[in-house]
Amino acid sequence: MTLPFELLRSGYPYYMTLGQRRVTSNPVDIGFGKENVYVLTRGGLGTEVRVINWEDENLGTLGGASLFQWPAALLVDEDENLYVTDEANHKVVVMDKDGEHINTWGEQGSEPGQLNRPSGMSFDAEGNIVLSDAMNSRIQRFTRDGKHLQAFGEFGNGEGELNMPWGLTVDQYGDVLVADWKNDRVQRFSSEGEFKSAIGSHGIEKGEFRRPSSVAVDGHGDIYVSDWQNDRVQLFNRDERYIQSFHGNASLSRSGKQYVLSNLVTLRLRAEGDFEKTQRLNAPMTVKVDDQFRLFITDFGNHRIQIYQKDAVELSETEIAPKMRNPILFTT
Amino acid sequence: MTNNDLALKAHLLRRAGFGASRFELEQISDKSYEEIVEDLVHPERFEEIDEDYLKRYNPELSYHDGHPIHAGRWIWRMINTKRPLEEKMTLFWHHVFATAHYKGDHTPSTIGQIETFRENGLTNIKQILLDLAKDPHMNYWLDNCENHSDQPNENWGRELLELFSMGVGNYSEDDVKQAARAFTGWTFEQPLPLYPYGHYESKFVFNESDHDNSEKTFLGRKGNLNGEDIINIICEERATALFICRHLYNFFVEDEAQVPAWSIEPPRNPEAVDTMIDILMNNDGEIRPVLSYMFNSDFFKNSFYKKVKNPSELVAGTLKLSGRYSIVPAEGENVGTLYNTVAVMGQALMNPPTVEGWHTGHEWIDGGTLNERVNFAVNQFNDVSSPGFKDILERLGSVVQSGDLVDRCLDLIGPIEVGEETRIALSNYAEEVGDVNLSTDEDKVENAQKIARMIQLIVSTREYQFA
Repeated sequence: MTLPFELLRSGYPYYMTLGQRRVTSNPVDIGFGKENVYVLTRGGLGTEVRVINWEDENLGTLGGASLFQWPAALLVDEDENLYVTDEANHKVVVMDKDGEHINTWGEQGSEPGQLNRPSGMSFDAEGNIVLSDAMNSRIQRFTRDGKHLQAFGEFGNGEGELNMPWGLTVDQYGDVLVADWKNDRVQRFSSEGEFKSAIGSHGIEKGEFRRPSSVAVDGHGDIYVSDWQNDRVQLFNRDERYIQSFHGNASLSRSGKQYVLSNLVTLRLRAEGDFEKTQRLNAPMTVKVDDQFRLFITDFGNHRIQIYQKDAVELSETEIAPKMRNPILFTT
Repeated sequence: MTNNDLALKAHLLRRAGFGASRFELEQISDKSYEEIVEDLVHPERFEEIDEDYLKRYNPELSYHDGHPIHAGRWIWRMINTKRPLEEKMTLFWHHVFATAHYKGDHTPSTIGQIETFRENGLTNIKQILLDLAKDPHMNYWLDNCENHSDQPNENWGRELLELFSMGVGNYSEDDVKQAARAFTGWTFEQPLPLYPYGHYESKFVFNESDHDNSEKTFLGRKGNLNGEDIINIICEERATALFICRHLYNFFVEDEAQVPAWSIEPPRNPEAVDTMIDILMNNDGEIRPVLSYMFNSDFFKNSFYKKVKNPSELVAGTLKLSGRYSIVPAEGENVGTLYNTVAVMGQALMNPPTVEGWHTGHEWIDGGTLNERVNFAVNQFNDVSSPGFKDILERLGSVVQSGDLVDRCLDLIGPIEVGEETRIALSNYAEEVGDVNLSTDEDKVENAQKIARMIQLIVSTREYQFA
């Protein structure tokens, strides 16, 4: 896919909310089947894969304590098999869309191919799994059935070094972008594991992070980073320049609306409260984008998925003025 | 550091904190006792605890849906903080201003009050009472949100005087009514409902239109008094200073009679409490000077084992020794379970039984809770691979003579002093075990259980129940 020369960014209108407390409680990741949406949950209100659909209907649960203890990330392949990393048991668990256990692979250790708290995952173009080996401060690549292919990165805060990496993604060029969690930055590596660039540093200003947990790249090369402790998602363009932040703009999900409308006291309390609080993100854990340029944020602390629809016009070189060497004040 | 110095510093850290491992005691070996006291009362000298790892592996701490995991987080802080007195004072004020989660069932407010105590616990009694009066959790607990100008509710006003400041016998029934009127309109923002997206915070609101602006007379002072005026007047009273200082003495120095008996039972050490009162009043209600005086006093230094450990002290102190629940959570560790651990011992943090709080001292111990306390402490040393036990094993050296085993282990666990009867029992076990060879890794594997058994015997003694 060829990237557009430039974009006219119209905005990110709010698309919809999925889930609610006691359905998609404490969501840490999300994956998509042909019809269903799989939400990986972890915490006091449930540790499992919750299945819902686009009508926001609760279709039940998969997995759970018998298969994993500290699930961190979810992938869904073209056959709708689900892959879940388990940080407590240092394994990747595979099950089908009905929750039938297919495979478990991985063993604890620090040798190549061994794992110490595997967390974020992404498929590469060949369908292999690239994952963050958090406590070993490295990235590893495996086939889907667990054959070890590659490892890169080591502990530290220099270029190409990592400190407890969490989420990651593989972009259309095969670059691996890693949420370098304890170093408060995102690092980009080539498919061979060579360091290419880094985004951000510790802080609360634009372009800075407090413990980034996830990263995603869309078809335009735009980079989305869940800035976990700052309760926001930040967007950078393909040149890694800061564009904007998402602080949350949620409306009620369909199931949430039904719940509120059926409870008179809840209705009254919602009418009396500070409405703005209901829209904001709380500890967003994961960002994902699909081929329709929809942005999915697992709004962990609010037990829901916030979804935005990117609205942008792709521009060719002849449809926009050349880049300017210096700024101008005359802008009309 | 002589053994006496070590024992005294360990005593200080059991009381002003939650105990100390031998490694922690070594880290302060070059500081004098007085310097350590100064460090304790100035927690800002030390870095705030890093909660990132805890939150990453206990992600539900990012929302406020159920208090047990947040109570567990608090115990984790007690274990790992570099500012032990900050957490100890947080527990102290929670103990004095007992407010339970079960009434409001609103976790953000419950933990918000604890955060407030953490922030203001070493400041000034006026500030602490004012923050308390504005706290949504307390406001709802004692019904001040129902205290309207045309329909006063006296619950908060009464408990402020009876249980939170002056104590019974130092004010009249009319003072209660006047105080209640002064706090009309002190309420909180309506929080959003739990469903569909979880709890949201509330905050203090002063509703001017619901405040009684007429003249009031409180403890002889007349005027259009508001809540802050009431607190200022209360804090000028010696009875308030006595109440606070007696609580401090009871919590940090020596078990006293239970609070309801204080109007008829004099303090165990009236001279000490009188001096503390003078310091508090001469420093306009500042808490730090009282604590500095108290920890440096002879009466404190001579108070070894005069307090029964409260469950939080027992649990946090034992976990410090075993090295579990450290900064980076181990696989499968869930701090929420620590709430249940202290709850079954009678101290459900954030959920005291009544506004009167917990009864302390020997009342922590009954047949059931003693069983829980001993089993918990013993179970922490079932696993010979725990970091704390491995550290003890290393420190014991290559060979431990049977005749030294008791003293060496008592030293590394505390130092702890035990009575003759206990010593005989421990020595009998040491004799049974004989000399313990820990020269090689294989020897350590083979003999670790023998040492672990000795540690388990020590933590199950009567003496280990005391701070």
